[in-house]
Amino acid sequence: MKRLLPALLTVMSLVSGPATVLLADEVYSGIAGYSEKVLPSARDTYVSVPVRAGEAALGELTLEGSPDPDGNQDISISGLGGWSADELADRHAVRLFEGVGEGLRFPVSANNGSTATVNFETAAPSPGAIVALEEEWTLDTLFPPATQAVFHESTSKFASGRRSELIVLSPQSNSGLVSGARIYFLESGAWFESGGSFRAAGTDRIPVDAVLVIRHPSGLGGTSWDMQGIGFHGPVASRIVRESQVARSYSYGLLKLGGTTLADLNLSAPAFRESSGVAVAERVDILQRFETTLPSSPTPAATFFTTSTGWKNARAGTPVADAEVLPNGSALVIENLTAPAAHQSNWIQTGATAP
Amino acid sequence: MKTRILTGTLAMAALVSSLRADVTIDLQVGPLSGVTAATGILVADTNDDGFANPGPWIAGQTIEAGSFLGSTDELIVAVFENNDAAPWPSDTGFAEIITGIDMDALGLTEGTDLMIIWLTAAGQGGNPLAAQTKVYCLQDPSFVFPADGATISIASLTPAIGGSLSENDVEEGDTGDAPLAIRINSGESESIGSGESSFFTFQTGGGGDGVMVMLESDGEVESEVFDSSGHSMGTIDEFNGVVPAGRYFVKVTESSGVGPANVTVRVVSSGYRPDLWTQSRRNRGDNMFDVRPTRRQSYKFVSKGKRPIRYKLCAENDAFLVDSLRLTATKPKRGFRQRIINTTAGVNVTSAMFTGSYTLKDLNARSRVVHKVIVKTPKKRGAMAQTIYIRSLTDPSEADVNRVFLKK
Repeated sequence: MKRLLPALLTVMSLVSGPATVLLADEVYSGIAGYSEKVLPSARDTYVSVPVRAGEAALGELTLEGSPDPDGNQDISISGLGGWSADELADRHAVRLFEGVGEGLRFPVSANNGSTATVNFETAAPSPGAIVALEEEWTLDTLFPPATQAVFHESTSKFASGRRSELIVLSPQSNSGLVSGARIYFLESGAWFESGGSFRAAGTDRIPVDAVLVIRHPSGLGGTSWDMQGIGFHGPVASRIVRESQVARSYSYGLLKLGGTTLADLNLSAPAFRESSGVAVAERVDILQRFETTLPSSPTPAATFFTTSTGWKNARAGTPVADAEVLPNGSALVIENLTAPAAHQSNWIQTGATAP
Repeated sequence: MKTRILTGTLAMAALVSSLRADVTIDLQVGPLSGVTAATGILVADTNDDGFANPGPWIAGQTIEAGSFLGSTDELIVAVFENNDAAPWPSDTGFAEIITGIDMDALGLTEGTDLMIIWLTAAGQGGNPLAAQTKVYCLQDPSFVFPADGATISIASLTPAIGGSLSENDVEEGDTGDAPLAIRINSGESESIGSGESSFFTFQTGGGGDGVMVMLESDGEVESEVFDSSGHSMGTIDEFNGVVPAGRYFVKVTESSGVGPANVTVRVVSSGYRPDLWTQSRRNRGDNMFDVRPTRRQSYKFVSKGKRPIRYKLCAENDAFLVDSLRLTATKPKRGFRQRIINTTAGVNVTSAMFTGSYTLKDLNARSRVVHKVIVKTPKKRGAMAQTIYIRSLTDPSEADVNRVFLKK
């Protein structure tokens, strides 16, 4: 199996000493079933995977003092530190794994060598809670203009010269609302945001849980996005975002980490809805497992769904034990066969514990 | 007169667990020399019967999403201000990302025709009310409302930047030369994006009315009030008070730069309202302001045996502004001995009320002072009537009166 580590070193450098918090059976794999996401011409392709830059690191939270009047709280995380001043600021976030804020992410606004400053708003965790430190991509790092083959470069900043666009539907803070779309395009070897003064946007961050829409115009060919290594590393906790009630099929790249069985995935409604029966027409959400050994295949090795009596194997509609073993490195994809209700849900795989 | 300000701050919004299906429009229109765009309005032809010229309808119109233009079927979908940093010179068009168009709330369906209206301004940063003298509109078959949840581009560009737009495509509304005096989100709520500004207008009446402008926001904002000539009246806090009748303009800017602020501007134009009433279990006479004899508040108290008559007299400032109130009372009939105590200050004000020198200075809006009245009656049977006035010193025409009948 191929190990994908392009951005791993960035976060690895943040982790000091042997207390690095990684799960025992952690592996890295392609992301959405197989590594290449096809982006057809004249179409919007929705990509809903956690685009995390590098490996998240788990640790136990310590609250350093009390929050200031604005709610900014200094924290430390066991096993992590050795940062330069503000090294984490604006590109890292702390995700909670338990408590009222389970699954939510809070940006780091500042840091020194051992503490980081975040604002937990109304979801303040308890001391000792398990948290993860996650790094976000920027446009320039996720889609480097100099080598960009995913997007067709625009010939001007105006609509008349617009080619491919990247539309980012990002959860607004942690409020559950999808904020207004941000529309980016590549022109003259740099990223710009549409609207206003068409400002340069290469350093704009892409939130880990954002829904990305890659839009190719008609008249230009489709492309593909090799999604290997864009971030499905580290302990799994994601916010599953469905941005509207219209019928679309979303894919969620999940990586088996920590757990070894279907039950370990801890999937339930609304993130994963129960089907009313075993017939194809009765299925609503399915879980596909892809092999990630190379060459990766777009055909799922197995497909599962749930009914009121538990997990089923879609191939024959036969029961599958909750203890069905998922091989290490499996890439898992949730497909919505019917239009889901618009929602966001926090999904956390069991087994995320600090050593 | 000292003015007290009510600047409210809403609590941070509660966490929301469900998503809203919004539409986002990447709008690019222009640039057209001679058309200086200040405010843009996106309207939808809900009955699919074509667009009316907005000129006759827009003057005096409240411009806010969800309203119709006059009596037409044209629904206002979004209102947006020109971005000063637009890519073309002199703000001669729009380059805006219009987000958060709530299709369900507006009752819009996919495929509805859209039209862009813009109101002209003599220059950015000036007084938009005075500058809004012309209205233009632009239709194009490609301007169509998209599917729910979609992000679309609506563009009409001039040949220099790859389009075919000309000034002939833009229709001018017939509004005459007078300022349109439109109302933009007056008294309503609006979400103001990071570092952006939004606009509220309000009209005050005459007669020395006081005006209280209340700004509620869940974010950090700055505000400034302008008169109809574009002269700054200072911040909202500095503006409150008695102002000449006319139209005013509030510019609210999100100042933290970190995110949208939900802002509501409320304007209360109120005359001074002194209110005098006896305080009992039923709060008799509360909120009765009329001094006409037929509406006069009358109270009757009877003393039994040697027990004095006791009652409470409440003087209240029912206006939205600080006011100084003067209380006067006619002298009691011989044999009736009266004491009136200001219970807040613990002061006997009887003599001052009889001589007309008793004043409650700078009484806060909606606050009151309770007086305890004790009347010893004569040994023999007898009766008397007393009239008690309360009057605004700021506007002496505003007064209230009580008639009290005392009987042994």
